[in-house]
Amino acid sequence: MNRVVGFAAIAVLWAASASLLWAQPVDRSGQSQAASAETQAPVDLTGYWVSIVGSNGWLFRMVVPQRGQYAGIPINGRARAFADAWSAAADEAAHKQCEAYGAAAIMQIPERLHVSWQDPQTLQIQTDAGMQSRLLRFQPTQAQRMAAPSRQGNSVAQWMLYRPGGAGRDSGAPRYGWLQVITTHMLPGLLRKNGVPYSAQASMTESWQYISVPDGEQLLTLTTTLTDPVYLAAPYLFNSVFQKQRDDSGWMPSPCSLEELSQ
Amino acid sequence: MIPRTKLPAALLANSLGLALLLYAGRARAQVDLSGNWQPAEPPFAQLIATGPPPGDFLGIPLNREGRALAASANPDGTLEELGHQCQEWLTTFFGGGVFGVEIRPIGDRLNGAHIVAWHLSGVTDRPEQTIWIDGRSPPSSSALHTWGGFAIGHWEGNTLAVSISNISDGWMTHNFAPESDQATVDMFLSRQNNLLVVTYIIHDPIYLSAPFIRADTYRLSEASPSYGIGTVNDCLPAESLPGLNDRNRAAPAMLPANNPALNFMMNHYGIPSQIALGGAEQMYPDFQRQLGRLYRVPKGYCVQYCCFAQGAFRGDQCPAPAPATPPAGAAASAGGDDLPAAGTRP
Repeated sequence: MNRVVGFAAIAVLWAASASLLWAQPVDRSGQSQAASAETQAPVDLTGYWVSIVGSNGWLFRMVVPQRGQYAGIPINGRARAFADAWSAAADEAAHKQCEAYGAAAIMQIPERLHVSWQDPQTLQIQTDAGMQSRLLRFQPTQAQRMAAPSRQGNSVAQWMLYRPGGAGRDSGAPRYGWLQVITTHMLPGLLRKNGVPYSAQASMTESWQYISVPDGEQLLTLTTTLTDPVYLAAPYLFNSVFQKQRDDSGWMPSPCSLEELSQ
Repeated sequence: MIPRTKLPAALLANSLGLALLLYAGRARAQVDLSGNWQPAEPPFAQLIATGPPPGDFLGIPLNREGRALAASANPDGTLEELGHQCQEWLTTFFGGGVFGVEIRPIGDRLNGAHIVAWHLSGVTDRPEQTIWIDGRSPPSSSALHTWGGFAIGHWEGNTLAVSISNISDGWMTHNFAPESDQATVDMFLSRQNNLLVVTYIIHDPIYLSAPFIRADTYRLSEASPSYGIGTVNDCLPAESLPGLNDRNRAAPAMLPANNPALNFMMNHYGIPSQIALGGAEQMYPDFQRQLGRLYRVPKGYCVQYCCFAQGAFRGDQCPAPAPATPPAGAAASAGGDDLPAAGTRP
């Protein structure tokens, strides 16, 4: 009898051990070959989002800083010389005002976003400010990776997934994670509408963190790190926070413009 | 060789050991926040070190009461008052300073591998913080309030979701935006490889008309943590302001109409003081249209906050700006109240 109880105890312990072994929580395996990015998504980012322009950087986001106001961006001497000589009027005359709405700057502009799935492997981000469209591709083709430089560049996205308890993909357990986006092949543009430039050699890494606040609000915290061997002396990191809207209230598409409030 | 009669016991012991080992591993397998985290936005450090300029509450959803207190803030004298000299910044100032934070796990006393809390280091004038993740409940709202408050948290994937209550009254920014002792904070610490993104939302039914949201990012550093020298525990308040030695211990009053700090944003950035005092609507893009009606390009301009040095308002060292006349309508409140404009008497 004692032997039976002993073996039963061993069996229970081994079973528990096996379940614990299975339950290691961190899973950053990325994407399944079979599952699409849309079905893999740990959160639903689709819908309308509005910029929250908090105290951090409000002054330089809501009002275009005066010439010479480059605080907060680690520009080098070449960038300073470019910005000091830059002219908004000349850019407007040359129809280059959308240079201030490129991928490296667009998420800092006070605006609303419309997020939708263009296809199961491509997340589309539309902005009302400047009427821009970013495509975040989870499985870009070789042609898409090597496409010619564009205003919004080539963005390759990946879910960084985390499954509590190591639950299997089909377990129905809640899934968590964040979105990592790497953008290259950008056309030269402006980080600020007072002439601070970035070059075609710039590359950008973004993390998109979805946050569910207990009072029901949904936030998206974007952390962007921009590197540019031409115009930046160090990586430029900044945060942008967006709040989920119930509908498209306030969505007001407007063309690119450099004629805004200027100091 | 284990005798056959001892085999079940040996298997049992091995199984027990394996189970304990794996359980301990599971307990440790939550996202690891430990390490020395330094602000990842060094270029902004020069701005943050001194805090926002005096009178700059832009983007903070202060309500009427909050704006009134902000308008009375004396950047030169508030921290010199006896009652404030040894005061720490609130836990909500966590993301506003130049100091980093060292985070360490706190293990269960009986089972060290089981993490019951995360400890965030303090610095000279910033309180340390313990975030309990062992399922305990927050204390009563009438229990002790401290500068650090009481924090409980739980994991949501790579994010430690924290709720902080029981915070003392104080300031949420370096230039004295007020925060009441009824404020609560939702804080989210999201680890993304070697970055720690901290998003926090301040709810204050007394001084805010909407939640105040901001985010800061820290980078994992291999350098030693940067602690401030000394702590406020060593602080002994001393009389330093004229007027404090009298019988009534009267603090120098700074009524909004006489507060020179309220002219700063108008003189240097063309932002009327009534707008610079904040308001919930300022957090949204639509406010640009309202601002456009009131904004005037400043004639005197101070690049890089040059008149604001070393944490003190050095108005006397500013290059004299050209007189800036508030545009018509600037005195009209953007926040729905009617505080007197700076430099005018009601």
